[in-house]
Formats: sequence, C-alpha cells, structure tokens
Amino acid sequence: MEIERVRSLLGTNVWADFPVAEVWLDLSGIAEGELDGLCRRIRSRVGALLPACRLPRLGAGQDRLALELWLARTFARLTLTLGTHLGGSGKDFLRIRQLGQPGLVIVAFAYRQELVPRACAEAVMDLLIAVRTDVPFDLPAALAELGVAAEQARPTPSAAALEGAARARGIPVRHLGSGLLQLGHGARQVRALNTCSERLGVVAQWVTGERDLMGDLLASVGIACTEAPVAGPHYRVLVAGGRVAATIRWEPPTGAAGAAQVTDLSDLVHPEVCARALDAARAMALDIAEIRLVVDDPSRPLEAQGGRVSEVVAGPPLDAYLTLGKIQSGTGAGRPVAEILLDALFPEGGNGRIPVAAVSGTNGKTTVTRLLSHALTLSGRHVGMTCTDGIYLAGRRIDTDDCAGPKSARLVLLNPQVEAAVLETARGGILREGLAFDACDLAVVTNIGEGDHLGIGGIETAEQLAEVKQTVVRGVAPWGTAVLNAADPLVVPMARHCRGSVLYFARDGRNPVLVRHRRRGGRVAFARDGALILATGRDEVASIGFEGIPLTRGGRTLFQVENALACAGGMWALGLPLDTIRAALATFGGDTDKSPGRFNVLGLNGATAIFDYGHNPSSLLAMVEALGGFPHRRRIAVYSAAGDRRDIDMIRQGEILGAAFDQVILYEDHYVRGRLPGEIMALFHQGLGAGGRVAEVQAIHGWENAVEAALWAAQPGDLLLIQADQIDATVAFVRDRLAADQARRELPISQAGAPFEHGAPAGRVDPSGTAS
Amino acid sequence: MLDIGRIRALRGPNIWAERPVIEITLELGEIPEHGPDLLERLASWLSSLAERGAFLERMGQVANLADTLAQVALELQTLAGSRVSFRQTQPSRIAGLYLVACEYDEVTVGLACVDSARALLGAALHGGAFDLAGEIARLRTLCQEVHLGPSTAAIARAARARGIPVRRLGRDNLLLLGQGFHQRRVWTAETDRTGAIAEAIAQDKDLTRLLLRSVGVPVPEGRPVSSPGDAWAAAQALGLPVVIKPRFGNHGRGISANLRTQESVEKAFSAALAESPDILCEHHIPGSDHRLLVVGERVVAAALREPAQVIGDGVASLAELVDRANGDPRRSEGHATVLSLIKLDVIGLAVLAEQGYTPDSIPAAGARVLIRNTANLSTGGTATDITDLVHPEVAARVVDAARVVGLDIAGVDVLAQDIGQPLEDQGGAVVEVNAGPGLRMHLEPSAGTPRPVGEAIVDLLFPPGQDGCIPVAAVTGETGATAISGLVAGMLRRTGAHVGLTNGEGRFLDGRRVGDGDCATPDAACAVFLNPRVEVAVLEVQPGEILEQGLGFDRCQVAVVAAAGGGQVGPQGDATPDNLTRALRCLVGTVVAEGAVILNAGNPLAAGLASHCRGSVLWFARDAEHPIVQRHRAQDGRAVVERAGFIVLANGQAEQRLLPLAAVGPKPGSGLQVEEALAAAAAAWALGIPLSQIRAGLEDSDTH
Repeated sequence: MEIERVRSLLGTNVWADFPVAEVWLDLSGIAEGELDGLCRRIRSRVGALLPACRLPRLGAGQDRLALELWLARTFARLTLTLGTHLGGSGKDFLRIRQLGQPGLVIVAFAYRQELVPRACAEAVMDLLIAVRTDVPFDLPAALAELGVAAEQARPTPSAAALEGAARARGIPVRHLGSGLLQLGHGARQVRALNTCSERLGVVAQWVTGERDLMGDLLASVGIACTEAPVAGPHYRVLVAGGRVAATIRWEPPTGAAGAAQVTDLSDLVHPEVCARALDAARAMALDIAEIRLVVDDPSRPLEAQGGRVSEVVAGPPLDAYLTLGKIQSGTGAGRPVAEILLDALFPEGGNGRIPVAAVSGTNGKTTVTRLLSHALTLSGRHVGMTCTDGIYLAGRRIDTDDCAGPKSARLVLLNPQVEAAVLETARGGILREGLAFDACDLAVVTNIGEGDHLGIGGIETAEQLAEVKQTVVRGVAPWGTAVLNAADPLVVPMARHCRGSVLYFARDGRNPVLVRHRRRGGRVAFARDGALILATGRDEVASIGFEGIPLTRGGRTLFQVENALACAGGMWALGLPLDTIRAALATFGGDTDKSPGRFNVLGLNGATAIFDYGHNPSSLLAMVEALGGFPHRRRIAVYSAAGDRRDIDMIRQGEILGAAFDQVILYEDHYVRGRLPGEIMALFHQGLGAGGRVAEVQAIHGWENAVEAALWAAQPGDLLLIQADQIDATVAFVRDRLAADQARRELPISQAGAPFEHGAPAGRVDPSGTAS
Repeated sequence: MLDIGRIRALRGPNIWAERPVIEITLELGEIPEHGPDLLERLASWLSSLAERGAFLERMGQVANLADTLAQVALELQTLAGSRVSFRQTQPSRIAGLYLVACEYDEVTVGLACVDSARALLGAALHGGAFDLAGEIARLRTLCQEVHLGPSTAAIARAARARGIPVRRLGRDNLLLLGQGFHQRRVWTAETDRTGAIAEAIAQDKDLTRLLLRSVGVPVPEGRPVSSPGDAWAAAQALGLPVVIKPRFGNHGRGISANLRTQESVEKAFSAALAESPDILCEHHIPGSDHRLLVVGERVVAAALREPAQVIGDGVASLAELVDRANGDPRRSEGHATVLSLIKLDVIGLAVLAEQGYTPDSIPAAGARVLIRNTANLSTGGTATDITDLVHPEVAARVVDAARVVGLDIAGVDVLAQDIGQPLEDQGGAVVEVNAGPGLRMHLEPSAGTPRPVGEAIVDLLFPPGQDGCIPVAAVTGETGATAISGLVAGMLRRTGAHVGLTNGEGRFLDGRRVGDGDCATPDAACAVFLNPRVEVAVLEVQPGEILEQGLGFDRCQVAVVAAAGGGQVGPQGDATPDNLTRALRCLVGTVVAEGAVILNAGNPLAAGLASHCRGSVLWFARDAEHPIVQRHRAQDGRAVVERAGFIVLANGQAEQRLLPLAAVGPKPGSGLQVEEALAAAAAAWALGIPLSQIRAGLEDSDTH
C-alpha cells in the first residue's frame, strides 16, 4: 500500500477544465486475505479520529476490485477532509479510476496550491499505514505540520486578489516561483511580484527608504514630509496607474492580538488631497504606491492644515484595502482595488493573450504545426513553435528533443518575444500535466485513425486515445475554433466538447458531417477538382489549386492533402488573410530543411528516397497510399518500430510493409523499450509473411547499417522509403553518403574503385543479419 | 598671516568659472612674496607624491602666495583622487587681501584640502614639520568616502561631456541627469528603468535559467536540490562533472565547480548551504569566464576574467611566485590601481590545498596554480578586454538574456571555450545575469582596450542629440524681476506646458504654490529641475545669490536683465559695481547660442553685457527712438518698445503692434510697470510663444 505518484495537472486536463491533483495508489501490496479486514479497521479507527469525515458505506462480501475502490474513495475523502482543515474547500470534484494494472487506482480531485495536495496525500497514507500496522497516529501533529506547509504555499492576500482579478478578466496566470506571477502570454505578458509591477524601478524603490532624498523629491512638487514615519493613526492613499484606488484611515492594532482598524474614506477625501498623492507617487517615480498622510481632515486640502507625508510605500500590501466595503455594505463586494491595480499593470487594456494554436492527432501533427507556424511567420509575427523535432523561436531551433509536451509549450508562452505560439500537443503531456494553457484560439485534431502508442499509460484503445486528445478541443476558448477531421469517426464527436466554433475538413466535399455542418452555416475546408476549397455555409470564399501547394505534390500525396486542408482551415480560423494563407501554402515545401522526417523526397543517383518519421499502422497506410503517386517499379523499405507498441500493431505494420514493398530492411537498435532483443523483429516477420509482395527481408542491427545497406541495394529507378527515428541524424547521414559518392565519382578513374572496395563491407550486411 | 577671512563653496557656473569653486578671502598680512626656497621646500614634500618636473612647472606659474595656496590645494585634491585643475587669484582693493578661487569636485574634499594646504604652506614658510604622507592618507580616505564610485563617476563624466546637467542626489551614488520632464535617474549601473522585479529575477538563478531557456539562450541543465543525496542524484542524472551553487547570491560565493565525485558533490552542497538555504546542481560548463556588459540592445564591452593565479617555473615556491606577482606595480591594496594584491590568506591556502599544494610547494615549470576559484578583480583576479572578439551570435544571445530578465543594463556571465564562436556549437552557456554590474573591469581592464561604457550608458538614457535640458528663462533685476517672471510663466502655461516658476514670492508649479518665501535662489531652481513634471522653467535670479552661491543652472534659452542699479547685490563687501557686473555677465554667459538676452536700453550696465552673450540680443525701451534700439534695429536686431500707447514688436525695420498698454491688466497704472510688460513680452517673443498667448498673458497678468 503506497502512493505511486502524485501529479498536478494545472491546465485543462482529461478530468476537468480546472486544475486537478492526481494521486496514484498502488494497493497491490495488500494481500488478498488482508484487504477486507484492513478496510474494516480503517473504517472504525478513522471514524473515531476524524468524525467529520463521512466515509463511504462498506458492504459485506465485496470482491477485491470493490474493496480497492472503497479504499481509494476513503483515501480521497480523507485527503479532502484534511484540505478542509487547512481552511480551504476545493471545488466539489472527485473522480476515481481503476487502471488495467492490478491494484493501481487513480484518485483525482480539484487542485489548489495552498491545500498542499501532495503533503495531504502523504499524511493520509501515513494514517492508513498506521492503522494497517496498528500503531498510534498523532493527528494533531500531522495537521500542524500540514498547516505550516499550507501557510508557505499560500499566496499573499495581495497576490491572491490580483490573481483573482486577472482570471476574472480572462488573463492567464502562471506562478513562476518566489511569488512572481506571469500574467498573460508571450509578448503580451506582464510580470508582477505581489503588487510590484515591472515598471517599479529598483532606484525608485530604494529612494522610498531614504528620507532625505524623499523629502527633496516631495518638496519639488510642494509636499512636506514628517521628520520620521508616524506610527499612530493616519491616512493611506492607494495610488495605481495615475488613479487613486482607495483611501483609508488606519489605526494601529490595540493590544497584543488586535488587528489594525481600517475605515474607508475613499468617497470623502478631497480631490486636492488625491492630486497631491498622485504628485507624490509621480515624483518618486512609482506607478503603484501607498502614500501615508498625517493630516487632520482629509476632506480638506493638505496645504491649509499643514498635512504631511509620513511614508511612501512601493508595492504596498493590499490586505487593509481588500476588506473595504465588504463589512459596511454587507454584500461582500469590496472596493475594486485589485482591478484598479490590474489596470495599472495593463495600461493598454486587453487580456494579455497572444494567438495560441494547439495541434493534436495521431499523424500529420508536426507537419500541420510547422505549416501553421510558417503562415503566422509570414503574417509578420515572432512565432514560437514546439513540436516533436524541438522548439523553434522565429525559425531558430533552440532544442532538438521531442518538445510536444506542456513544459516546452509553457516555455514558449513564457518568452516575452513570442507574438504567436503553435504548439504540437502530444498525448503524454496531456496525461502528465494537462494543457500548458487555459484557453487557445485554435485547436486542430488531424486524425485518430487506428491510434498510436496504444497500451501505454492506461490508454488501451483508439477510443480512449481520442478521449485524451479531445482535451485540446476542450481547451478552445469561447472565441476560438476547433479544426476537426470530418472523415475520422473518432474526431467528429469532439465537436460537442468545444466551447468555441468548429471548422470541419475532409478530402471529400460530400462527406456527410461536412455537408451537414455547411448546411448549418458552419465553416469547412475540402478538396474538389484539384483545388482546396474554404467555405462558410454555401459561400465558397477561396479556391486554391493543389498545383500551388507543393506539400501535396500537386494533390497526389493524399495524406498531405488532408494536412493542407487542416492547415488552411486553421489559418482561416486564426483570421489570417486569404493572401497569407495562399502564400503560406505555396511556399511550404516538403524539403528536408523545413520538415525533417516528414515525407521528404531526395534524389539518389537515379533512385528516389523518401524519409518519414511515421511509425504506426495509420501513418504507414497513409504513406503507402502516397507512394501510389510514384511510378517506381521496385520499392525498398528501411523500417523499425519502437518497442512500446502493442504486439498487434507490430504485426499490422509488418502486414502493410509486406503488401507494399519488394524488399524490406528491418532494424532495431537502442529503441527496444523493454522488449527482448529480436522480439520486435519476430513480430514484424509474423506480419510480413502475410503480405503478398515482399520477396526479400533483412534484419540488421543499428540504423546506420540498415540505411547503408539500403543505399547499397538501391538501383536507379527504385523507390526507397527510409523510416527515420533519428530524423536529423539520418538525413545528415544520407547526405554525407551522397556527398562521398559524388566525390568518389569526381576522382580519377584509377582511384575511383578503391573506396568502393573498402567502403562496401561497412554497409554490406550479412543477409542472415543479427535477428534470429 | 595666511588668515582665511571667508570661505565659501560656489556651484558652477559662478563669477569665476563654469565649474564649481571654493572662494577664499585670504589675508596675507606682512608675509613677503615667496622665494625659491619656499618652492623648493614644497617641492621636496609634494614631489615625492607628484611627478617633480611637472609639479615644479605648475608651481612656477603661480603669481604670489595666495596663488600658491590655491595651487597646493589643487595638488592635494588631485593626490586625494579628485580631478580638478582650475584656480584663479585676484587682489582686492584692500592691500594684502586676496580673493582666491580653486576648483573642487566634492565640496568636503575641497574644503579639507584648502585647510591642509594652508597648514602645509604655513609649515613651509616657517620651517615647521608637516606629516604630509599622513595628511594625504587622510584626504584619500575622505575622498573615497564621499566621492562617487568609479562606475557612477564614469557615467557622470560621460554625461557632462555630452552637455547633460549632472547633479548628485544625496550622499550616495544617485545621480540626476537632465532636468525636469527630461530627467533620468541613475544609481551606479542601474537606471530608473531597471526594474525591481528584474533585479529580483536576476538574483534567482533557477528562475533566470528558466527565462533564459525560454528565449533560446543556452544555459546549463540543472535543478534545485534539497539534500546532499539529492544533489548526487541530480549530478548523476545531469552527467558529471557538475556545479553546486546557491540559488540566490552573487560574487561567486558558495559556488563549487567541476565536481566529479559523490564526496565532492556532497561537500559542495554543505558549503553552498552556508550561503543560501536553496541550492542548485547544474551541469558543469567547461571554458573560460567571460563578462559581457549589455547596455540597451548592445553588448558594449566584454572581458575575459581569470582568478588570481601564478605560473610555476620549476624553481620558485608558491609563496615566492605570489610575492613576485605582487611586485607588479599595477597591483596594490584596495582599488587604487588596476589590479589588487594576490593574498595567500585562509581562502587562498584552501584553494591551494584543493590542488594539493602548500605555499612551500614548487610547482613545475608552466604549471598554472590557482590562488582563488572566482575571477573577482578585488581578490587579485585579472580582466582582459575581449570586446572585439565576441561573435555576433554570442552577443545576440547575451542581449536576449538581459532582455528576458528585464534589465536595461546587465553584466552577463558566459562560459565558453572560444567567445569568437557561437555558444551552441561549443557547448558554451550563460550562467548568470547580474543587475548593477561593476564597470571597473571595462573602464580599467588589466589588459586590452578600456571601453567607454559610461558613454554607452548615457547614450542609452539620452539618445544622441538630446541633452536632457528643459527650456529655461532666467530673469534678474533689482526691481520687476518677480513680476516679469510671473508674467512669462503665465504665458508659457497658456501654451499647455507644465511650468515651474521660482521668484521672490515663492515656488510654483503650474500656478500652484509649492514653496514659500524668497525662492529666487539656486536651491529653488534645483527643486524645479527635480520635479519630473516640469517642461519649462522660469527662474528669478538675484545677482547677490550668484555672488554667494553661483547659479543653479548652466544654460538658459532666455535671460532677462530688467532694471539694474548698484545697490543691494548681497551682503556687505560684495556690493561693488564690479561684482554686480561679474554676476550679470555670469548669467548672460549661460544663454545658449540659439537663445537671447533681453536687455533694458535704459540700463547703463546693459551695453557691456550684450557682448558676453553667445545668443542674440533683444532690447526693450519705453523710448522707441532710443539710440541703442535704433542702432540694433539698423542691424536687423529685434526690440520691444512702446509707441503711441502700444507695445510694439520690432524686427529690423518692421514693426508689429502687440496690444495697447491700456489692456495690460489687471489694474492699469497701479501694479505693473510698463518696462516689466515690455520685458515680459520680449522674453516671451524670444521663447517663441505665439503672440496670441503673449497678449492673453499680459491682459491677465496675475498668474504665476
């Protein structure tokens, strides 16, 4: 019995549109005979320890699954009860899911940072273990410890008020640590530290502590200062962005435990007093400040009664102001001080958002991501893009790892240069952390097809995969658009979960989903008579011939036609002008430099080599369909598959290869992911046997050797498919080979043969291979 | 003998010079003119510190004992660390009484040096003893205490060189550059645009790394670690070797680099814990330590920093090698020279021990032995200028780093094998971004070219062509100056500008009283320039204040000398016609070439002032046929006169009626004098105020 992991899903996630904490419980360690007794002991002892916690009913004669479920429910209730003790009640949200793996249960509940979910879960586990091992549990001590952790995690009242006001205005908020808030995304973000804005100067802040200097500066605008800060009752004027947000009378706490007395005078204060407070803030070069005044009557000008400034506070705490009005009015609505502060932080207004596009699906998502990024770049924006090939900032690649997860996406949204973000959104990150954002302008789901990576992370079927990928559609803002594949039955139902509008695309304009959507006045993208059509209801607003879209090779590469449709729809939904859409499609090629590993074609001494990253049955099928457009007589495939695919997926890929290629070179290297050496090969062989076309199968260890062997085997007129796991390295490798080959051919004849003889053995592989 | 009657510090400009001076009235009494033996004695004392030939040459130019005092005071200030050179001596009308002016930089240093100079001269004259070395040491200490730090001083010098007014606020390194609305504030290498949040971010190395990564600046991989065990786990995950450092902190404290073993990682964790409760483990980046200075969007200087070290010769012990290195005249205690001494203190011995040495060890020939792990100049490190070697891609990344943190001026630390190659290609990285970076290593590198970084900072604050000045109209005159200044301020306000006004009645901002009492003082003028709202200033100036304190500004667009007579120009003794003329000349001398002086044709002193003005001259007179006005107009000059009951603007032979005198309000004949209206109209005309607003201002004349 232990906690396997705790996850915080801060963005829109598979469970909900708000932050959710996941606790994975591993109950497999509890013996079959022990479980029922343990549950009953827990029920009686916890009931006595925490009477406030209502435990679920525990029926007699339950099976193991039911008992595990009961234990998980109890665990969840206890965790939430501890949260209540910490002074918070999260949203009333609780979900429990049993995974296929025996004994593994996920408990999910609403996340709040100050309720320290991990610490609470660990405390509950300690309690349960204490019951199990029958030792005493010091609940008050545990609660006290949690209280300390909660206090540390709790944002200051000022920060919480500011965050609340920001969220209410639709501004995305991210905690950067050390109390620093990122309000907004990319180029439109501002930073705030409690109530300090980015404009708070380090010099200005220092001057507030230098009374002589402060006196000089305030004297320059005709305001007098007291000799020293005044501790007794005085008035405080909160100034933000050239406005007075509130004025209070402040009296120091009386007695040890007393609180400061605060009276709201905002409506009584004389305009001249406000004007002087604004002057003081300006002279001190502060945009947000509290001016503390010593004056008899703030409803009269300062000068007439010798009013003085006692202190000027940069980035003042809002605590005293947040209670204003609430008590008097009894309605709970206070003075909107946090809102006025927010106006000061966003002097231009707006919600701090840049255009954000998220792309998901089984195949084609990197191509769509790249093409959307290309289009936004053409529209003049500094684009941040994340995808499986890395992170690109305005075309500069800053990371070469797989970056289709929320960490990379958040990194791009943190970048203050980025004016638009295109984020490939893979399922792993959605499961681990949720989305990197709370709302996006565009979500594209290219397809689900037969799925990929099935059998990992509790996702067994394509339907379950669709449910995960549907999260990006749920992340579409009310003003945003989901671009969905009308031809994919697992994608179409996602429309129901979209808060914004939907644009369907399909190769076939007669697709019933598409037709129905058009009839209702919806927007669609489809292909007809060699052209890409964009339409709103009956109106066809654009027709772009496929001969002008090199990605599709004149419309012959059918899966690229689908990608082009998805992209065109996405660009249109983002509000890009038709000219930009046309230009983007016309200038985006399948060349290796722009889209490494995505159906790139390279001439190869008379043969044709195609590189692709696709590594699942759907992508392979699409690839084979595309190869139909090539006239080549003989086809050779270099292919591997990672070990984390299901057996049936490997066999299926073998079948497809066997039916479409004359020669297949299989390889495996360090990507075996938990399989025995040769195991994958055996599965492929099983499928290959079923395919009717293949005449020659080789198994080779290491991708370099496999590629080398294929280059060696290729004759002029052959078609070579190279499935590249390490895209960059493979393309570079082939290019090197070609260059070396070129150099060799330029050598005098007498020497030309030599490297051939020396070079051949390295590439030539014993057909018996290493696979057994 | 050598009795100082009165001593006062004048700000610049003043009647002596444009620079600030200490003015001394010196009673020489019966002392004979000094002879060569006095000079020789002074030389024998002072030339041990100053270069003898140059000193004698300077002393050879002194005219008398008073002048000698001034020169010695300058010598002492220079030895203390001030940059001063101006002196002037002038006999008064009383025999044996001299007026001496001697430039100062910091007033406390200047006064102390005058005091020391007097004592020194007294001792030299009477053959007494004088502990000159002790005195110099005391003055140096004083100078270091009160002077601007080297970075701020460089910025102040650069600003002055560009004609930007510089004022020190308070006793720290806070500078006010420019005036009023155009002012900027700078504090060492931090400006008023250096954000407090940005500074906080820069101090958090973990957050800095995240932000840098977001803009694609290469950074070392790393993460916060919570225990020695966690640190070792992180080290293994990141790949050895690693660096352990405090998450918050600077100056290299608590940082251990190039750690390869569990033992060293865990030990480094404990060492870092002494500096900060939050510890980071980062991948170790091999390469040299470079400091790149970003100012705005540019890398303006770069230095290769090396920790204190010696190179073995196979013969000498480490202690001997360190002594030999310290024999370099460029090394000294503290910051007085380019390099600091290398010290074999506790830290130095610990660093030696890490490398398996003691001070008695004899390292092999060519072996490099570190005496410090961090490359700070103050601990004997060196900084070599490498600005010209920085690859443009490196510079671009470094500027991105400063920008994403939010700093307008930043010192960015880069580890790289070769700063001339892109970082990405060589696995180099940015490891730290510092707010308020020290400029000394760029101003005085131990090798290579000094870089004008003060100039770069000033260029950031004031784009080329801007001098940070607001238009100033100065008004003086025994009578009428208060009224004229009020009138001109009222007219300026009608143009929509925020106007600061000081005169005999007080200090005003847009008509609102912000200061009481007589504000025709340089202090009041400074208060106006300190106010960030003020877009144009109208300042009454009293000649007596010029004599006593100097001026509160060094240039103006328009100077009005209304009426003038002898009479009250200050306390007794100053009130000579001579001094009055000098004071007025001083004011007129501040008029810029595009500006104008407004002079009263009826004022006998005025004719002599016109020639001291770099700008043009506008005369005003009730008598339209006044010969001075006639002559001036004949040369296409401008004038404002009264003709047939009208105020008339005359430009060469052309004339334009402005308004009838009867319309000048509010109470005709009782308050405002005609001359005052004429002078105000002339000043407003010279300032380029539209005639309609001049008229309106004159009609409603009770504004400030």
